[in-house]
Amino acid sequence: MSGATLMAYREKDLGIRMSGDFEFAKARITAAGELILTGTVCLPEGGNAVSASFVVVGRKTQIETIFPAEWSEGRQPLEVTGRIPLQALELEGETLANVYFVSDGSDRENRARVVWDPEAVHWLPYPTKFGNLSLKRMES
Amino acid sequence: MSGTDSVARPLLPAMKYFMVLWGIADNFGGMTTMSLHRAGAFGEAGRSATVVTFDPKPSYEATTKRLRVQGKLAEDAKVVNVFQHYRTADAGSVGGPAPVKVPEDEGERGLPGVVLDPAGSIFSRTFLRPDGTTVAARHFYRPDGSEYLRDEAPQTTAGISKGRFLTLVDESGADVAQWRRAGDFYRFWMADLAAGQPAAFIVDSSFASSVVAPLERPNIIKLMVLHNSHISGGGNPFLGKLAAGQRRIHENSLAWDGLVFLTHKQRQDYEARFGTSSNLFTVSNPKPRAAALPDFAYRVPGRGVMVCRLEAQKNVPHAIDVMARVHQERPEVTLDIYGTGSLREELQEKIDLLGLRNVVRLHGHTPNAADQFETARFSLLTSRNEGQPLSLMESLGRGCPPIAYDIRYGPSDVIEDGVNGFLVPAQDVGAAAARTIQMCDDDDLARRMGEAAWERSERFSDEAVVAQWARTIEGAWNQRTDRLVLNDLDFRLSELFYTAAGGFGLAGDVVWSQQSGPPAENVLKANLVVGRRSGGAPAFYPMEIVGKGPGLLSLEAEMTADDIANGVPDDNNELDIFLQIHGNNVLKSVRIGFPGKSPSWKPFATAHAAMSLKLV
Repeated sequence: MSGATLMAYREKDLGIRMSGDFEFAKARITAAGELILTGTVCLPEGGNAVSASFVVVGRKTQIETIFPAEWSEGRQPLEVTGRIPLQALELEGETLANVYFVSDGSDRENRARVVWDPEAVHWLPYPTKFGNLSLKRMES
Repeated sequence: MSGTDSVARPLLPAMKYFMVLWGIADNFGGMTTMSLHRAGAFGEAGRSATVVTFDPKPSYEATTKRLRVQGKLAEDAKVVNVFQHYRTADAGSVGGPAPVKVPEDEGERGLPGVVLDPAGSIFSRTFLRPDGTTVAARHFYRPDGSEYLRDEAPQTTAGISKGRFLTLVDESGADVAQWRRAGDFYRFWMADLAAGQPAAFIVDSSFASSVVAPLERPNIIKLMVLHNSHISGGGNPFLGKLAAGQRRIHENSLAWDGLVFLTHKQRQDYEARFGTSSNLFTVSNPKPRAAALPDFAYRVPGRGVMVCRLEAQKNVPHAIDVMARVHQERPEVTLDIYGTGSLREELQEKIDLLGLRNVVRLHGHTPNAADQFETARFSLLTSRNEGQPLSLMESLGRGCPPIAYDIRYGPSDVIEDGVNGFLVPAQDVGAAAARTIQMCDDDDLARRMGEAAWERSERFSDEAVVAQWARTIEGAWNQRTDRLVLNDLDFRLSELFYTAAGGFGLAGDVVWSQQSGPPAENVLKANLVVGRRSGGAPAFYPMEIVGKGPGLLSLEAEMTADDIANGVPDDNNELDIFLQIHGNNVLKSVRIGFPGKSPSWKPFATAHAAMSLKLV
């Protein structure tokens, strides 16, 4: 993967048909302040991955920041990793942002929200006011 | 009921024994009493012990004489003091680190405060800074007036410290040894006391613990007795903060060959919250019982006794409330309270207000108050918290069955409910009143319980407790070479992760520098600890060791959603995550910080099943 290149442009068409769904597996936050998303993508038969990226979109401003992803070569499903340096997110005035996975196949760009089923998530890590790691019940 | 160690009597191992106090105050309390008593009990068992003190007090000879007259210090138990020792020692033969020239003190200082010894000779001169509290220098003198020790803390004119210098001076006035920290000076002396022989230092004073903890010699073991609850104010054992006086002890528990709890219950609570290690022991305080069971016929029907300080911790208002309820049904039942304290007037007002002047009687301080248990039908204990209530043990040892709140710590270790007394839920005035009435109504019950109380109190005899000490000391000594001495033990989180299935995990390194013991990387393990905000014991999940080397253990752990939720009550909505490092004598809990800077973006699952980021 190349180094994270930052681009900003207006969101275009969110209704594009996907050629490969990203299946989210793990989100890591490193001590260096990087968010690393990993998962898999199963390309349709004959599909050809040209590029892939994660896009963070501010909810109010719709400003996008694109982070190129890297993926494994060979057998499907492809293992995909995206690195988002959280301190580099320039989302002034925002407190919420959505995360998309974008893949450019041989014919067109495909974009979809990264799926994370809240039914599975009952406890979510958060920092206390003292900066310590705690878990909070999602229903609370 | 726990704590029923047999009274088989292994001899105390052949070694030198020291009981460590910071000092012996003129009006000391239970901790010092126990330390002095233990020294005597060890002597009775054939191993004389020395009481070690560090306070710069010129009058230990007089103190020692007084204690012996009062029967509080055995004839064969010595009391030594670091300043007294070097006051009369041959400084030229002491050895110790070579002295350097002490930098000039450029700071301001006032006139010296002079302390005289009982013979009227100058013991010390103390120079203070203009703030009236900071010591600039303290000079100590032999009985002949020559200086033997200078404790100097020179400053620049701007008030910046140039360090601290404790310099030993010989009779000719020449500097012969020097230490840069008072603790080093004290530890040099302690090692000198041990004289290279096997030695055990049993520390009672938490204040002195910081002096003893860093003492590392192959011939010395160190045991720290925890006289009070490890939780501040006797609070919730799983949520409460560590007691300020004990915080350093527990945060560096690996420094000790033994952390000695007085009760099994306290140790159980400690282990349930923090885990266990090879250096945790339980030894009760001794409390000799009456030589024979006092005759039941001399017990005054309906008379209860309390022996306690009249302070908030003892919760005497509850005892008055208990008696108010009892009085409604059994007006002949009375309670005599022996002891004094800051709440006496307030308590008397409450007694008067309730019309109980002839029912609850405050007797103030009374010599040998514990003898009152020999003529009482019952005793009451309504304290909020205790370490190990001595009055309860005194009551049992005189065949007086107690009615006690089941508080932390002590009652449940010594009372088997319905057998040698009654345990009632803490703060339950009604239950305590009902049991009091039952005890007063039923002669057979009171007699039977009194007999059981006296018989079972044998396990608090000097002989029984010395036997517990013997086992503890032997165990600590035998495992001393396995003790890990580590510095800067810490955890460095490298990453935290969330799984799509609702789990979470983390990875990071435990790091340390090792001073002695077997290679720590082959001994240490770690658990992820999930603490529950609503209370109850935390859950422990073993972490996987994925790499190791000298000074390094790389760890990973992943908890599934089910793991996280396992055993968590529905009303508990927040969990705190710790890392526990353990192995041999090591037991350390580290709060894990959330990675990255704050505020920063954190992932979460939206209601529409999508990932979003939130600035938190």
